[in-house]
Amino acid sequence: MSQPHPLPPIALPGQPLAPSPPYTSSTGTHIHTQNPTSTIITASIAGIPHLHPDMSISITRPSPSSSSSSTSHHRPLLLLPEVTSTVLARVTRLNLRQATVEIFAMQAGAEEMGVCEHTFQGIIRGQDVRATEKDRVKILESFRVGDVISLGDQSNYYLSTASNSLGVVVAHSGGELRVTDAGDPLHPINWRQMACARTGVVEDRKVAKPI
Amino acid sequence: MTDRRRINGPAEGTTPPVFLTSSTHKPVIKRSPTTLRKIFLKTSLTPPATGSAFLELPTPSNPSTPTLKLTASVYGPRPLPSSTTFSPDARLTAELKFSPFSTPGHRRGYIRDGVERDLSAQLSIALEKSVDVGKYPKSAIDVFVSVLDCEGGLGDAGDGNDGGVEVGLMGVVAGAISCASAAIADAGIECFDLVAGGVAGLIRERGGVVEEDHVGEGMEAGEDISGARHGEKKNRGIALVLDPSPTDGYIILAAAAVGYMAARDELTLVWTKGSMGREGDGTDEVERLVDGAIAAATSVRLVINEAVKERLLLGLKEIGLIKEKAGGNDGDIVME
Repeated sequence: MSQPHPLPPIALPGQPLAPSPPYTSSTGTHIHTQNPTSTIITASIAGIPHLHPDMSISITRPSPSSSSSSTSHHRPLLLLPEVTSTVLARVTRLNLRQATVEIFAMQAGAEEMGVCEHTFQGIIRGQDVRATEKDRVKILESFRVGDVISLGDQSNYYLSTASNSLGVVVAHSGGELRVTDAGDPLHPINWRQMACARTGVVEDRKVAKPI
Repeated sequence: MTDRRRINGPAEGTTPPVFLTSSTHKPVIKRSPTTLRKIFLKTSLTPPATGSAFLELPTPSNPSTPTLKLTASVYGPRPLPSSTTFSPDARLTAELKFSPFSTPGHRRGYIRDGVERDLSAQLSIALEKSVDVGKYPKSAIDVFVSVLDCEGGLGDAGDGNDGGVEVGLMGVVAGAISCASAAIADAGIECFDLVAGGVAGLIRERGGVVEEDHVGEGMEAGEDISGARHGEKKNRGIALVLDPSPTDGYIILAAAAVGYMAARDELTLVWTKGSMGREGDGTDEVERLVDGAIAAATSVRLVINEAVKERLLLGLKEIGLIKEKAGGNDGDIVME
């Protein structure tokens, strides 16, 4: 493919990359309007610029943590939940109307699931779990929730598990009746029940699609 | 019976040690007024931070002379604390703190004082226009700058500089801006441009200070003052000094510090002080000062670029991409 506008091998923040009308801005770049007649794409992070077939320019940072980095320390990813991103969250508080969760990993766009540096607080309201199992769902240990349906209020992210593939992925037994037997891992039986591997006790969950 | 829970002093009295005062050295100006000091800047030195940088100006000939050393660390974007109100953009907070041992001569307290609060506000103003806060909704970006060693006085009481304005704080702000911007780039936070800090000062041109004029004039402090007063009377020319240091011994009439985004040609912060222009409105002098500070900041920007690039190339080398990507194109990064 011929490149009419050669990109530099490395881009630094603020560095102009290409004129905007033929090219479009993608991740890591932004469009700077110098004056009303000329807009230009400039880099906003330090990294390697890429030109995509759809004339969009993106910049990726080298991430040593992704490939065989035994020596370098782990560099946290800068991730924020967006609408339609799939997240992994741990349930922290329950009441009759909603479950409060702590988002610790998320998948934004086509990239792989990444662990966030900081946890974000999210809320799964009863009506977002499943239409039939509104308030009866016991969400105890870990939850695979997804599809941030709204960016929520000032501090919370509203999550939904209203899909077959979304729900609890890791859970441990610990029903209120059998406190002494608590702590064993559960395995899913169907979409709304999980059973303890040791005692066979069945507990209610909104289960992510069993494999 | 001695108290075993305390460290008791010796039974006999001791004499307190007497140290030589370090302030007896004479200021030596080796660089020309328009030459900047060399800057050491390195990123990613604070492991827990998302991004960090360390800036140091070289130690002068006399090792006891204080220089400027500061670190910046950037945390975020992280969730806003629950007590804050909704913000559709990222909220950038900057905090500048002097270490207790940073000022020569006396220790500083741990509690944030007015100087630190003022500098934190300036730093925050200088940085927040450069960060693309719209990309990080509902989150906070925190910048912490810690001054480890700060040259000269800070404009505190008792730091009087014999009639000139004190540029120590301006140097600290400019260094903090540059260092924090490098840390933001190191963190990978999207920003429109990097901000570099620069300082310039105007001095009255007279013998002894600008070395070309006279050689061998005494540099005693008393003579400096009298020389300056004579100079004022005679109304000699005014010279521009870039990156003035309090240890240089200049008597600076007015000074300016700027935060400058070189690639966009925008100023994010202008701080001027001093009194100029008894004749006329002083516009020319202010312009000259700000232009000088911009020139200083442009040079500092090259150092920031190099530091960010060095870290990037190191990262590429770690994942084995360096050969194909940046192999022979090492020096090709040109900012215009």
